Amino acid sequence: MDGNDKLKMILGRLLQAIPSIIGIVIVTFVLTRALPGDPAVYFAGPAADEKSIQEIRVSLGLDKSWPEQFWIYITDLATGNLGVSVSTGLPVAEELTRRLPASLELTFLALLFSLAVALPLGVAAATRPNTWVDQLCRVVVTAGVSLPVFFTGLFMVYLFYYILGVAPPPLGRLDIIFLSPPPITNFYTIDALLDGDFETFGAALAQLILPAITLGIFTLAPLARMTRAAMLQVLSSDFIRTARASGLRRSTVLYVYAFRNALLPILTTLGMVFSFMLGSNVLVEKVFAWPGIGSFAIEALIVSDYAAVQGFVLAMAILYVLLNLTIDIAYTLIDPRVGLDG
Amino acid sequence: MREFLKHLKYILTENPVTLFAGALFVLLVLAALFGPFLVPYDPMQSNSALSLKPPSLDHWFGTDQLGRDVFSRIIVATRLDLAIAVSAVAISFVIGSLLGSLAGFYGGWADRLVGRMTDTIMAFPLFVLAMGIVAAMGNTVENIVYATAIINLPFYARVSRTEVNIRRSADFVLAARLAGNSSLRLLAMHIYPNTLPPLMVQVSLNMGWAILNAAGLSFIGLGVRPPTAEWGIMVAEGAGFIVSGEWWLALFPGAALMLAVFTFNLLGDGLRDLIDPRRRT
Amino acid sequence: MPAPLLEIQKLSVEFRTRSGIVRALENISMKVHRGEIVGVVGESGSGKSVSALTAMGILDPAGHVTSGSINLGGLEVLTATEGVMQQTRGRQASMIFQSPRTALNPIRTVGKQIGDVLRRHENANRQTVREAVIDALKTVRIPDPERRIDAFPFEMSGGMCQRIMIAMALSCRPELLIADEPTTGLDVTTQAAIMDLIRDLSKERNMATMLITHDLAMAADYCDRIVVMHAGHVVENASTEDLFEAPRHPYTAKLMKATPHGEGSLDDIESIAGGLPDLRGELPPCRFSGRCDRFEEICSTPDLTLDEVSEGHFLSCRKPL
Repeated sequence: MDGNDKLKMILGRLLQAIPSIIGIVIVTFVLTRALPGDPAVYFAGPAADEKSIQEIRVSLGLDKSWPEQFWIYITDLATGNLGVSVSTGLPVAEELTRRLPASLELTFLALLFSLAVALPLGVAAATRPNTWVDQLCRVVVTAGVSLPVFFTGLFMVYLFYYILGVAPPPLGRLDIIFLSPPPITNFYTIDALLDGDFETFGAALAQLILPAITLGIFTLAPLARMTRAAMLQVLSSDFIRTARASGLRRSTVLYVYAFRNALLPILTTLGMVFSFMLGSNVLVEKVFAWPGIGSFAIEALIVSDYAAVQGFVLAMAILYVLLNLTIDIAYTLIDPRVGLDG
Repeated sequence: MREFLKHLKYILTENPVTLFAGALFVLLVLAALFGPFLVPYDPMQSNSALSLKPPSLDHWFGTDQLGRDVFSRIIVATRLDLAIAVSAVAISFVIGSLLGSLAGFYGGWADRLVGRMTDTIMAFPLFVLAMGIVAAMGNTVENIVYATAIINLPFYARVSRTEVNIRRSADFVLAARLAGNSSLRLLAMHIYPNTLPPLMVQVSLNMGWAILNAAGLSFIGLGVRPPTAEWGIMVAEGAGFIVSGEWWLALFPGAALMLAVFTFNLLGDGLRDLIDPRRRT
Repeated sequence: MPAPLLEIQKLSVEFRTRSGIVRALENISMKVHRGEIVGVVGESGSGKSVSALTAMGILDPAGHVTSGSINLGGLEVLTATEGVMQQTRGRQASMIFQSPRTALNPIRTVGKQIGDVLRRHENANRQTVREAVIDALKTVRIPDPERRIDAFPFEMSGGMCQRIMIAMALSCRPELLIADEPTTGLDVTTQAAIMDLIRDLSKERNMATMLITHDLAMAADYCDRIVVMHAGHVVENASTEDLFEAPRHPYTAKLMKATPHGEGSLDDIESIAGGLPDLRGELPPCRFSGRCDRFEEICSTPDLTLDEVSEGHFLSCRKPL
């Protein structure tokens, strides 16, 4: 198989994402039209008379037929128009792009933490079954999925901020005494490093650590469980015996032969992990007053700011589709058999 | 049946963890059924003189900002939390397994339709979809139930689709078909009952997750409203007091929530061992 | 006669499982000389593979050697460190397995897998490894090795995969080759080609070869000597000629009658009554006694040993034929 075939397969994967995106667009459209009551009445405010409600209905396009409204919705989406948030008065698309980096920075660090703990733990548990490492893995796996993420977060705040005093107050991305670094990537830690400002970097990282660990602990469990199971299965397979019979080093057998094969089922689990992560992200952002799209959505929910909530759901879903696509492509690159057995 | 009881005894004696989970489960059910009659204080009774008192012999889990007894509120909340999760799981179990079996049994366009539907739900991060649904349908407890039911639907539909599909051509089904049973009767009387064990495992593994989801939704202010006693909202109300050191407001209800989820997860693992001894890990 | 390359003496192995201790091997002994192909024959579960894996030092962790010794070209296998054994495997002693498709890493090209073995045991850089791999592929008569080197196992037939395994096993020119049911799962014509290849290479390189098989007819065609195993015991060990001329152990005789030959009809084939005894718990001195129609009181006396009954013919039976 040459690089050209790989490229074709990756393009195929991209095409397969289209039905998902169509489904997402339809569902988000239906969700807004299913709103209880008349949105125009709500948007017009309590003091509005019949005439102004009618005007708003026309301006929102609510007087048109459903297919027409759907067409308008699609053309708006295509031009990046997600409507205006009634609570902030700004375009939703602008709000989301401004806040997205905060959420992404948190999510990526959490994922990094979760992988850094779960993979070695799962591998260690699988290579030493029924030892203390294995028991530890079992406890982490069972406890991890049972911990409500907001409970973990609050517990950490209490322990590390209130009792030990080692963590900064759980109030956003950067302590108010620091200025946010010059925006390049909008990831505060990276921007501070690019700026050479290590003090700000430290402060930004200090704010990030607790929420990232909170989020990471929740997603650690399914990853560690799958790593352990996949490694156990691969280690008992015939080709591992062959590798051992050829005298290959333990490290080669473990990492080049076993772990790379175990990565395939782990990658599949990662899809579910991202679903957990993006959902829990909302809760973690509330606990730590993190100014990401999750807290934006919560504020919008409370005041029934529908355009904002819809934009948030759409953005999260698209993000999730993109992450799944990345997983699929990684899978295609690792497993030479993909696409050949149908 | 005797085999089954023997196996049950083996599971319980062999694995004390499952026994422990069973005991916790009984405790939860008792609290849900009789909680309101057992608690030492009225969970709604506020008393400004007693506000924010740390745990003591009088108030085991302390009192909240309005002087209400946290312990009583946690016990009373069990009913609501379990009710939300149980009804959500029941709805997704019934509808999901129905759709899944029809898809698995008839194949063709029915299968494609159900498949497309579950795929569309799964294309969203599930908790985010639940938020969107509650926002659209209205901020009520019933809608929390519906939203939780919808995001759990794909799991049941998929399991029952696979199970029905495997059994569609099994010998005993062919025999029943030859005996002149109609297709629907066949599905209802012969195939569906056989898919129940794996679905039950799914239910118990799913309960914990449903509780977490529902509590998460009320934590961000959806569904349950104050002053109702519910674990998620109690944690949310207590969250503000954490930074000033009044930990008992948020941490006790959070721990109750964790215990409930933990119980169902352990029970689910135990049940899986019971029903499918081969898949034991 | 020179010293054997592989000598297993009085080896006993147990598996400690949840349901009890399985006595998989008890006091088994055998020798394999350079240039000799020794067939180890028996039903599945008789302990053939366990003996081989123990000799290679890759027995499952549940298995424990309780007594005996294994000498491999001067190396005491059972007391050697894992590091020494790692260097021995693939260089002095190699092993190939059944179902070659699953015995190769599915997501690594065959060239890289052979290269891993070469790099482990020989000082070689990237370029010389590639050349050495192509040489190894040529040795096992793989057509178009320059192209095949970059193929994945799933792109090849079962027979090709087994050739790859052989190339991998022989790439560092080992002195001992253990082939564990190398043709199981291959079609009949491929089986013959693979067995011819193994025999030719063994003779060419003067290797000591152990061929594990349940197929007595195949052992007869390719082996110089045959060791018959039953339920963790070696029951008979003789040169192929002697064994087929005059089998002495009732089990060997039955095994022969259960094997189809070129002449004679299928009606002549007899199956062996009963199955292998449960290897947990108390066992009679002769583990075949439960299935044997020559069984008498004397067979129950303890301390049954494997004795040389005529030159080069070993037997473990009190009521031999």
